[in-house]
Amino acid sequence: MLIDNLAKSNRLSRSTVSAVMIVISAIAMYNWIIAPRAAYLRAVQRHEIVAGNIAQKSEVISKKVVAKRKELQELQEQFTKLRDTLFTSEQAKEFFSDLQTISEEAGCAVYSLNILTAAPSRERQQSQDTSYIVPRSATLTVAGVYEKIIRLMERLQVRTQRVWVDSIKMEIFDYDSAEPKCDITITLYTVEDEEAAV
Amino acid sequence: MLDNKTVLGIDISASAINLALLRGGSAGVELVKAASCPVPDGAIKDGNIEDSVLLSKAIKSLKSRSKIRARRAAVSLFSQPVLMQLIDMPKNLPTNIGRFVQNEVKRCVALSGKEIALDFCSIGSSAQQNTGRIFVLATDAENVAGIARVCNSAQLNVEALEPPMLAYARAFYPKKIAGRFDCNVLMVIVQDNILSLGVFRKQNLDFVRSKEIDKVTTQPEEFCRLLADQINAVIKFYDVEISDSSPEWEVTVVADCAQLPEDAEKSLKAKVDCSSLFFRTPQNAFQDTVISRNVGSDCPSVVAVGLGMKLLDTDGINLGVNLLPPESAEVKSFKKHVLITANIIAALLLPMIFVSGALSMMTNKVNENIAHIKRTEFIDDTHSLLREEAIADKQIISLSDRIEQMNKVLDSRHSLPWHEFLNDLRVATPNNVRITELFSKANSKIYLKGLASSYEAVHLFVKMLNKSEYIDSASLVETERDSGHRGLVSYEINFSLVMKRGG
Repeated sequence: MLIDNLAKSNRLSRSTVSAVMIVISAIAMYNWIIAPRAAYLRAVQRHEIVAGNIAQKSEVISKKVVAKRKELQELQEQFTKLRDTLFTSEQAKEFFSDLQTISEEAGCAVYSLNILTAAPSRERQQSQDTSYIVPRSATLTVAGVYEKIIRLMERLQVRTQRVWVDSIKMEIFDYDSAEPKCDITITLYTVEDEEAAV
Repeated sequence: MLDNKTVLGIDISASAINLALLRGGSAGVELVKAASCPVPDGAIKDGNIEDSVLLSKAIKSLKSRSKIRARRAAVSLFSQPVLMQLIDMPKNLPTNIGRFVQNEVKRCVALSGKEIALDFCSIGSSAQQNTGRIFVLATDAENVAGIARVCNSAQLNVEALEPPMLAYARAFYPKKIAGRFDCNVLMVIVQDNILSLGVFRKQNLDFVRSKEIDKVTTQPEEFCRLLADQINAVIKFYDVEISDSSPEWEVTVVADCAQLPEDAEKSLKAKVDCSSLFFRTPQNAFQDTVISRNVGSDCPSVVAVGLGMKLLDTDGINLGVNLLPPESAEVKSFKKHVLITANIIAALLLPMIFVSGALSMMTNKVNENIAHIKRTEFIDDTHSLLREEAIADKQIISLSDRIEQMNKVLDSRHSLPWHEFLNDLRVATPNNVRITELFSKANSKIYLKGLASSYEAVHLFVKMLNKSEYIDSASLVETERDSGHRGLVSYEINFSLVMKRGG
């Protein structure tokens, strides 16, 4: 019916219908053929840009990671070096239990050894940062000739882990023959929860 | 006036298909090509189309063989029944002439009960049209549709459909009819089993009649006599009935010899009461036309030529009847319009396909680039790199923190190699000086108490102490001669130790 009417219509009407058909067809073809591919191409181009940016960033990150690995390694070495100057809890226990042996090996007679209970140190009180480094002190009273005491001091201090002599007190001594009594207060630091530190 | 067009006339009879390709130009009408072939058996039966497919194939094949191409074509109305009639219009012209003509045609017995396709036109020049006669041509609409279907199947753009009688008249008009004011022209056409007679008086069609002849029962001699009788009857009718009719007659008979005896021309001339009788067969009738003929062309059909001339709109017989309905032209125009629209849409589609292909290629190229980037760069490792960076950052912060804590603790402590200091102390002590007490205070302060033999010895001792690298500014705090100790000098020295930070 529509086609019959169209066939009977005048030239202008037919031309108008044809123009409309052409426009509709062109739009439809564009939407069905061109638009999806164009949209896909735009998406792929954006993806390419993003991929390029990611690649650049990855390269930068990779370089940063390499630098950080190096920095980490240096810090690790530094940490290991520093940690070696401190005692572990076990090492501290061992050291304190060996104090008598060390003194005797140095030629000094041990009168008393008093291991002080670990009290909150000044560092610990001041900051939580140092919470895992705990000071441990002991008072050692020995007697021996001056030379032996020097040797004891050497044996206490010349070692990998640091031992600080906080105080010393000697009475009436002769460098060669007398065996003065000597009170030594020593302090060392232990590293708690070492695993967490590493 | 001729225009520059090439047209095709198609004459289809019960026995043959004839094509005539004409070209109109300033020099007149020219026959470019002619071709003919027999009608395939079973295609036409009793003057009507029996097998339209067969017929259309035959036309198409002939066209193809003869390499005839034309945009426009006219075809002869070969189907029966055909009504050709001159009608005198009443003095009071009806408002709707078409309806009037239709009612007149419906009275025809041959067309009764059928859907009628008709066309009509007024007769004579514009000055004579006031005489009120119209020429009516009618046939069964089914026949018209059948012929149109055949021509469409044969890929012919048929624009006109008219009976052979009119085509003959048009072809003969310049030589036989034009300018004959002093005599009447009678054209007798015998084609298939139809006898058509037409009288042209003063260049206008004045009488027309068609009669069906039973060829099976009619013998050639009898047919010849019948033909002569019909011609004489027309002449006699004019002599008796038409007062102003010219006494002179020119009769042209076009008939197939197969339907007539061998001496048909002689026999007719003897029987017809007319001195100017021309007998033509379809093969030699072309000589009565003014169409120039190419040397190589076949013997053309005058009907096909006349049909072609109709499309070329020659100055000739003014019989503008066409049995093809105007709707046919509209449909063709519509089809053409649709075809153009479809072509434009296809033309639009083509560049879109190219653009689409180009877009696909670009997309593939970009995809390849992306694949290349993914292959060569670290895109896939980015997450693990980021994770590794985060872990490294965390570890660096943690380690830095620990190191800072350790340094803080170590820096808070001062260290002294006590064995070296004690050794230095022994070296610095003069022989006449004895230390009775050594004690440290506040970590770096050392107090020495003892006895010396003299003040000089004490001062020497202080001096010696100050030379030690571990002692900073040793000073004598107190000296006193002690009477209880055999006059020895008691002393008290203090000094600071040179301590290193952190150890």
